[in-house]
Amino acid sequence: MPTPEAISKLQQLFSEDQLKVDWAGKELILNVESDSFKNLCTFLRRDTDFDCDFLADITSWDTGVSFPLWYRFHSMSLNHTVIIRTNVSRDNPIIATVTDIWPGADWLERECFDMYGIDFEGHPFQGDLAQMRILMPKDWDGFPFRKDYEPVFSGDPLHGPQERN
Amino acid sequence: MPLTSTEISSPGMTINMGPQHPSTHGVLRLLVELDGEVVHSCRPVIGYLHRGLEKMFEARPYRQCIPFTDRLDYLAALNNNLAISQAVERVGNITVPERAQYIRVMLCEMNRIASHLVFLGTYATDIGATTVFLYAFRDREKMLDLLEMMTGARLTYNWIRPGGVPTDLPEGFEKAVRSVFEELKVTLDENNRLLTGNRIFRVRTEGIGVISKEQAIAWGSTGPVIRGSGVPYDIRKIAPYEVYDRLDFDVPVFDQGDCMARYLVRIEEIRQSMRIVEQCFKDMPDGEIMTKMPKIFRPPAGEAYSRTESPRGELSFFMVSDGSLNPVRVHVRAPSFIHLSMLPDLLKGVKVADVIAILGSLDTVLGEVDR
Repeated sequence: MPTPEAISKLQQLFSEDQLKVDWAGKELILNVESDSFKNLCTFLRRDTDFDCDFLADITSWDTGVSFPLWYRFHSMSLNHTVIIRTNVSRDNPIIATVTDIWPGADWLERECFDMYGIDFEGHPFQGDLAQMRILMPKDWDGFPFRKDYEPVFSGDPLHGPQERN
Repeated sequence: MPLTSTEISSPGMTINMGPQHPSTHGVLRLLVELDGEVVHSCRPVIGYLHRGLEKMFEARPYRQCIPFTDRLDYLAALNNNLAISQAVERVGNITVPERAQYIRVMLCEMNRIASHLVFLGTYATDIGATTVFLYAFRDREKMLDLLEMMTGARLTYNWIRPGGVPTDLPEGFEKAVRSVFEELKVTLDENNRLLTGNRIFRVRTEGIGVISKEQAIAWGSTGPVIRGSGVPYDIRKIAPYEVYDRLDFDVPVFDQGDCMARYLVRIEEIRQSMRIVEQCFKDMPDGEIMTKMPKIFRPPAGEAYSRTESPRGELSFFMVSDGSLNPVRVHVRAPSFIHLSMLPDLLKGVKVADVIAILGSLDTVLGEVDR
């Protein structure tokens, strides 16, 4: 569990409208604005009071208004869990990548792109649609986990782009 | 004058391993670019088994999601049932009776044994020792018989559910388990002698596919993979769920980080799982096995996640509720998915024959990867 001193260090570095600290039991939940997100990640990885060296999970969902992003970190040395929540808008879903900090983020970010179309700025495959796709066929049309996604059957169950006639 | 191996080069040969290759344990395709015998680069192609289960969860009431989880990691379906049930319980603030918790732990550990026995058999076959395959599957069949006695199914149990477990232990179950365990302890040592002391097996696995401690953490590996690299990361110990904090068991950790270490971790885990099951029989209290659940289950709006130790690693379900009948989002953090993402780095520069040895040692299940 991160110490009160560590929390106050966080609050000094990030202003109140950028970062809101919340607790769920012993777990720290950090609600951060998307423009401070990368700085916060770098800080959590480097700071010895947090030492979040293990990225456990990345996921997103569709609220109809925005795509919240949910990151779960673990510290192997201090044995605590830190959760970061941030939001990207539905019109321009873009967030900084963390693959340079945690290489394990690679496929998790690709999955978020594949299902929700969230762009991870700085990801090795960013902008390359065919390379970013991971579970869906690389020529697939649209982002299937969005709530407004309408599947259109192309007539060929094995292959990709759905032709809209 | 004959050419030496360094003078002959055959760059740029690309071969496809899979998706119909028996050693890839499912529909995994590896695009391997070879330079002679050496792997130059490798790109795993997944998604052949993608059924959109996470999207299907969104169209169903919470309790109807359980049967789908059987089809994720089909070698340890009970562990998936447990993970999603825990997520539903957390999002809906449901407490589980103590007896049900013991039964859950017991059954999950037995499923872990069955899953590790499949690993033992298939991994031995991958390396070329076919005998162990038959012995391991014979033992696994006995474990599945026990699970069938309890749940009525061999593989897709659909048995653990939010609030507890549906049935109590059948008559004669403890006796049956004990007699199978007595046999298993003997046959496990036999199999162990066939492999661990086997020179060919050792040469194929020792020093092969080494994952350093730092790499294992940075890539997010869990389960036997990270414990084979010297990190004692086991959810049952660091964040105990159900009754694991009351049970006495060891977490096997090996420092070498090679295929042999990952194999040894799993063998030792079978023994520890048997210890846990035996303790469960001893400590299990009498009482209820199912909490009273409302017929129409509407959890309050919020987010919750569960983290459990499945045979393959950290299996976590993330769930978002908006107070309606169906979940808004269910996300599966599948350990095999993360392990496969390590392959491009892990396979760089290894011999093509070792690709199968390394892939097998990660023990991936494609149902879980593709979801």
